[in-house]
Amino acid sequence: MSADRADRYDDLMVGLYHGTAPDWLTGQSRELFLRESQRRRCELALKLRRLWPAATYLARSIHSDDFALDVFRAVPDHVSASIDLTTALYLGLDQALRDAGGCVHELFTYESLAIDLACPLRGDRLPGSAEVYRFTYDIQAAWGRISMYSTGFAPAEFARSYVPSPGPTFIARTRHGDKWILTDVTDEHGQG
Amino acid sequence: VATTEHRLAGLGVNCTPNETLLQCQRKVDGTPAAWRGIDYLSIGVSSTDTLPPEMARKLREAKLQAAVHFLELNVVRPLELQREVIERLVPLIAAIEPVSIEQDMGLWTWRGAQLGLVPPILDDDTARTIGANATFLQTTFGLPYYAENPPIDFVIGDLDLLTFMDRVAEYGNCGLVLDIGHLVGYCAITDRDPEEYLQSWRGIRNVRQLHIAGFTLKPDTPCPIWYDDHAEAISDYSLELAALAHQCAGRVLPVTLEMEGATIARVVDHVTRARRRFFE
Repeated sequence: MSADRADRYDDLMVGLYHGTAPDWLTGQSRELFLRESQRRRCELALKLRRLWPAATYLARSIHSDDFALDVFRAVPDHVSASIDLTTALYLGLDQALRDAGGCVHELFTYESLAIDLACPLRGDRLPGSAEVYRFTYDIQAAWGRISMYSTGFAPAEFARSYVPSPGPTFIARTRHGDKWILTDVTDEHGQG
Repeated sequence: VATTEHRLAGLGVNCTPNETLLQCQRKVDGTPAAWRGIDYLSIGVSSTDTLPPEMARKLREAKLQAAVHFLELNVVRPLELQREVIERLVPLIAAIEPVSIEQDMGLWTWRGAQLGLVPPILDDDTARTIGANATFLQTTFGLPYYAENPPIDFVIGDLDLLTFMDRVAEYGNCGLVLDIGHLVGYCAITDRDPEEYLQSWRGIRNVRQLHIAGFTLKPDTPCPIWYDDHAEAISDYSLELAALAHQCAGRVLPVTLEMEGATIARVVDHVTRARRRFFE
């Protein structure tokens, strides 16, 4: 049992996201807890795939089938009164994919442009009041290709052998009602 | 439960604050006709809600009672930790003028975020904490507080659920809400027969309200898991288990149908069936 009984709920909440049962949990309780942890992380995995379909497919293909485990583990570190679950997953993904190489992180940023987050987007935003982001690759072409692979459940080799076209590209996002509208403004911002 | 007065009666449906006025209008208009058979609303209220104007008056005009269902209180921990949340809830509850307040027992928010429920650890420590919180809530809001059995996906603690609820009622001097689906889910993972378990429970005298909802059953080893799914159909089994609860209690208890997300045709059907089964 935890030294401080009040901490038991912290142990349980963190354990659900880490996929580890507290030491003081034994027997069938432990089995049920771990099963529930897996069920909840399956729901999180679905959420990752729904919000970031291309980035998560590419990350699985070129990085690791298990990269999402790191994202789930990071959730308890990120949540707070002002950071909801979606934003916590965003921050966890940002952490997990930042050094993944290729265009994974840029795809992740591109898909994040359409999501409501409770924190500033961590992209290469140009100075100025309009929200314009710079991508080093032809990000829309990359997104189209990886989305084709993703929706087709393509072998990972397809993604690994894909070479994205260089950019840069510039994408603006504007708010219309409850949606973000993304517009390619590369022509306005030149090629460099 | 000496200090609480039970006043809720009949058949209720759950809704959000924003849906309340529509529900009142339906009752007044009798459209759909089944709405004439609804006696109260169980209104889910969060501290961040903005209420539509004149809710209490509209409810009175529609001859609808109200029960408030909290969504974010962690009654398994001292509520001192959520003082700001409670301070924001006080004026909201006053504006609704409900006859009672309630919430599923458990940890609903963690570090201020809603991450999914951690059910209560079923032991005497937690029962005492919830009991103290029940007393605090009843004093703060001046209303009866009813502790509800939550969905339980994993069981921790040395007490069984209904013994745990007995202790909560005793320590908090409060009533209880018995959620039929949550009870079945608990029985499924602890290898209990829901009917036998319910029939053997003396503490049902403290139950002030029943909740009934649809569900999905997910096969798994070592046993299938019953998950509440309010958009799904309410099964005959749930209705019959609720009927058994009435029988065990020796009186007709208020019945809340939890059906957010269900089609209007399904809601009309269930209201009609529940009305006929329990109140005619």
